[in-house]
Amino acid sequence: MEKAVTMGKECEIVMKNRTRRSFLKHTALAGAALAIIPSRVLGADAPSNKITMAFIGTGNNGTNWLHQFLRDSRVRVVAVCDVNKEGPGYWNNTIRGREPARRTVDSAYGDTSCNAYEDYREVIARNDIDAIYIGTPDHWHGVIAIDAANAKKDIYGQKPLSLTIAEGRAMSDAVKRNNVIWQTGSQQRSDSNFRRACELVRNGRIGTLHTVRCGLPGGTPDFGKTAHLTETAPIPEGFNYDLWLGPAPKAPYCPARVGVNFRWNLDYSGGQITDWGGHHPDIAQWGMNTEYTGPVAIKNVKGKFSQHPIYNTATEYYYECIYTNGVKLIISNQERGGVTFEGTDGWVWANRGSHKASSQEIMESRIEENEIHLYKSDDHVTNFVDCMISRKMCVAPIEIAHRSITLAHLGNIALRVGRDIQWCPVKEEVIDDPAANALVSRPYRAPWIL
Amino acid sequence: MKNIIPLWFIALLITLTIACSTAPQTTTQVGLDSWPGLNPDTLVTYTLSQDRSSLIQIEEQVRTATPAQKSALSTFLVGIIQDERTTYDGFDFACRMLARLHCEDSIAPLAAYLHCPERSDMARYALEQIQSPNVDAVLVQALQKAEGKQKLGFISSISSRKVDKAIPVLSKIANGDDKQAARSAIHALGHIGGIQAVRALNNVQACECLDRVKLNAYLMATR
Repeated sequence: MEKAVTMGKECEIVMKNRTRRSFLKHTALAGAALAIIPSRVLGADAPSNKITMAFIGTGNNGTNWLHQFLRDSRVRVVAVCDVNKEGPGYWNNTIRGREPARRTVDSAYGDTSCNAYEDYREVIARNDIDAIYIGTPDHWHGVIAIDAANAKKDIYGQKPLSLTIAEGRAMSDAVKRNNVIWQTGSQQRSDSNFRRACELVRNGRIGTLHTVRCGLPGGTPDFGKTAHLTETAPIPEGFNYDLWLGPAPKAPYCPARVGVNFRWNLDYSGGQITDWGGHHPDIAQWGMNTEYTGPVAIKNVKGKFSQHPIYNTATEYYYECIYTNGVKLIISNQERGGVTFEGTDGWVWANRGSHKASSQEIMESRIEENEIHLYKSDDHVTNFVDCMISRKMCVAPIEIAHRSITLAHLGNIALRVGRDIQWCPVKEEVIDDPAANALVSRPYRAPWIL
Repeated sequence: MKNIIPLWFIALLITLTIACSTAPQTTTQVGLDSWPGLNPDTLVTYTLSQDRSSLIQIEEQVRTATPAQKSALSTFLVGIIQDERTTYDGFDFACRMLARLHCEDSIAPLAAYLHCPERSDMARYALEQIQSPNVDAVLVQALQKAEGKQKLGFISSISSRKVDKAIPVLSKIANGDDKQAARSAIHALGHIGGIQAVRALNNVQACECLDRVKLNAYLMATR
């Protein structure tokens, strides 16, 4: 198909028909075959030979993960984008935004080639960008991810995947439709402790699984040190507040609403339940082998909501996700932190950096070659870059992330309507409860559309 | 008691019919004291950053209401949105609660604000979440008269609700001169999906700049 053996115009025409990504893949293969040629001869460090990336949302996670990507020599960050030029309100009221991010990139590369944008649409319109990182507040994930997928960009999208179940479905469909690579920022999937715990469960080391407990944090911690700043205030210079609101309902500006504390308002996020819903419940589904489906009911819902003038997410919560095989997954801020799998023959617990089991025998149990081995990734960023080159699925693909965060969204829906709900994981609808089913999606403020 | 409830419902319907016919009005005309324990003035004068305790109380009532209580709460909240003194933030909250109550009798009062520049978005916010064919009809009707951002908002809601009765109107917009509206309409046709939507997409003669949007809509429509 690609018979470009002569240089010149003919070759240029063929190159136009090849995607930049397939070129990179072929280059990588050729590079492996000709490894004895020093890279300086081939110019492997030239920016044109690298995967070009843009960072959209350079507040908290965006800035943190930018440093990770800057360490990968296969990637070149060419653009950063944030509605905030530079300002406070992030972790511990630190200063962040697109200008600090641009300076970070330029400092890392020792030049001034990184472009800074206010509007993500300008970034996505650039044909020379292969991949984007999405680190915006949650209410922007859906629109940006879908636009980026439609523009054939590979995407590293932060958790929680979506603001609503309908958004997640649309995002997953767009990624699939456009055949782009997606990595969710649920980096616990690249932590060997969680993988090991899930492999022990999947291979029956704790007998028949009956209960899973996910212990998540509660409250609405004042990460940005801005929770007291609830009075309507002038919009800071350099901050495009209307664009920050995006598809969310119109609301007056105050510092408590934006920055890292956005997470405690249901217009922009789902509180601790969704913040951590992309982590521990995701691991639970990995161990339960229910990654592509979900529960059929949410039961025994209990919770309390914040009474802060701006914050309204759940501060305390307990609910049970019931699966067709009878397994019960408990999600609560009152459970032991991490994920505990309980079976007829023992238990396994995992959290960041460690895992434990009910017996030494289970802890030391070897997973044989003919048993179930789960996807192995030891570094989430490396895995994403590897997959952009190989065009293989990442360790945290979007459909799995969608199904995981659905558990959190369903919990929030049940808490908000104050009753048990029945769920159809095939149609992705709440059964016989129109008021609860209405919360599966969220209206968008004009001119935005899902 | 069984005999009283239907009469009570009829009384409510009559009240609402009167209320809907001349929106907006003042609180006294729609009987805001119909829900004991809730002070309408708290909502009428509410602004964000104020203490939310009375709003939390209303939200808790919405969460735990029986069907009969829902109807009465809806009447109370309709009164709030129809009161010309109600602040934007009070209106915003009332719309959010009406969205949760899902009462048919709130559809017409909410629809009365669909062409109000300041309040259209929140009225639509509430309506989009009420699962009733009457909402579909209201949105299609509103789309035919709308311009600018409001038009885009209605297309968004129609797309989200997959209102197939809107296909002819969307088709017309998709072929129109307003590129942003055409883009949204094409997207909506794709999201609604099905044979009718695909036929409508076949007939779209949009500018080349929307080719990718159209292709994407086809893929969505035929999934």
